[in-house]
Amino acid sequence: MLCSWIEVQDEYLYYILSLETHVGNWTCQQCHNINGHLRCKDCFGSPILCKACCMSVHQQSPFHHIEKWSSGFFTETSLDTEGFVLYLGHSGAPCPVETLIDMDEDLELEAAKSRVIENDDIDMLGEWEITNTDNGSLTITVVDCNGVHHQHVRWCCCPDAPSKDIQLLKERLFPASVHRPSTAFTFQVLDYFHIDSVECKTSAMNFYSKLKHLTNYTFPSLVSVCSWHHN
Amino acid sequence: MRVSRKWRYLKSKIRAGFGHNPQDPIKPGDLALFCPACPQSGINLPSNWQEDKNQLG
Repeated sequence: MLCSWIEVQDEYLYYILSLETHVGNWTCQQCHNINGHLRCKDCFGSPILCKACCMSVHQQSPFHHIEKWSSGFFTETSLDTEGFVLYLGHSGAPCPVETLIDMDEDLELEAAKSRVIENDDIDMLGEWEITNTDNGSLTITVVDCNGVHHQHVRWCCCPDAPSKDIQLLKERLFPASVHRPSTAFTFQVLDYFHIDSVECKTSAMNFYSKLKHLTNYTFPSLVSVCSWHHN
Repeated sequence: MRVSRKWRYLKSKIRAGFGHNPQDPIKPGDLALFCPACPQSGINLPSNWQEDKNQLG
């Protein structure tokens, strides 16, 4: 069995290496209109996508690893770097109320800043409040089976919207804190760790070390545990 | 288990630069990782280390 593999191993190597590039045309395989330069490693078939299609395709799978073609090779990037926003409360779609509030957002942010300065209270909480008005956005840390992600989130701002921790729970993300959550764990990673700890005797430290290596194999120590520690 | 060993072997071939020229003969030690802490003559060891009378042994 192994002898037959030795005969074809060079062929296997050729096909594995050929996956490093893209052969064929660079038209976005979703909209077929413009050339794409992004590729998702986790989507089946690793389709070439333009930026707009990549963002819309990943509304339902926001924790995928993507690559960007940059002058001769694919380099690792992230959905967050490319401008992806995780919308909560509407199955990945933007909150309908948000578009109305967007117009007033700048004014409200200015007002929030001046309030904080008046109170002379520019501490961690104050900064958090500035970037986290009810309709504002925030970069949160999401831990999934395939690594640690930083995601720009937009909260649901409907009049009957639940609190932020409940909004995360409704999207199958377990918030790490009740008030002002900025770290969340997907239900998949919690189930995965449960099975791992019972069946493979994996300790939490070893499991997190594994996630750090999955996220950044070269510099695992750079992977943060929450947004505030993220450099 | 067998597949994981095949995968590791192919990955180490790519890492060692044998991916694009599969016909190149792989000599013993070619797939080994370079260890910067090991003594390398002329780098972290004097090139005349064998003539050093004070060396141990």
